[in-house]
Amino acid sequence: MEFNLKSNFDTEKKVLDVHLAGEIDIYNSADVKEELSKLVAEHNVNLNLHCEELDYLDSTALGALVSVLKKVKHYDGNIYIKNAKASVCKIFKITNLDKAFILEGECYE
Amino acid sequence: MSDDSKKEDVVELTLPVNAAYVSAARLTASSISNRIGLKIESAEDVKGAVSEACIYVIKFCQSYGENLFKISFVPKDEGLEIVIKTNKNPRTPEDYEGDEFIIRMIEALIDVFEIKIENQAIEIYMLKKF
Repeated sequence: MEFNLKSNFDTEKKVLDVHLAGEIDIYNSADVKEELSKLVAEHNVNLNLHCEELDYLDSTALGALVSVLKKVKHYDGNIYIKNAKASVCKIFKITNLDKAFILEGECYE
Repeated sequence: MSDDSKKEDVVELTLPVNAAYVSAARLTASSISNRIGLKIESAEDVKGAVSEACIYVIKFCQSYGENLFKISFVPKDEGLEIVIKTNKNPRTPEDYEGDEFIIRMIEALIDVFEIKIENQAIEIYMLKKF
């Protein structure tokens, strides 16, 4: 499964939206970390990660997201995980990272 | 679909120590889980556990100079058994401690889980029950 990341910054609302699709694992998590870190450094705002098309993430992907979260916290921001699939939500829950990130959407209602 | 599926079929994968092929292990795990009738959620758990076990072994192999590792999938009456093994390597320490975070994740996803060092090799045993 290919991985895909699309970002959009709304200059008026000051919102950074990133759409993740496919699988993030040990093979590409370093690239994801680099790309998200770059975006966060550029805009210094909250990060909305739209995960409806994200099929899978592993421990290295979580590590990458935690590293980006630290950068976002530096600007007093947060990372919002939006509409993650049940299997992706489960990974956040079993690692207790559902308390570090803000998860929003179906499996969290 | 036939009675033959009751026999012990072993599916083995030999993978290079390369992050690029963890997805191949995951795909195989998912396919076999579905084929033996694990529920979708359980199949997702197996996929995650196999992936994490591969990361654990890849990190070990990178530290101790191994190039290959092997995964066996064995459908059992009670569920799916997965064994991941490295080659015998005289440099294998007796008390290797891998990533604690990975171990916690696998424990949460799988019913029976054990890591042992035997004959100078790492062996990860996992069982996901029906």
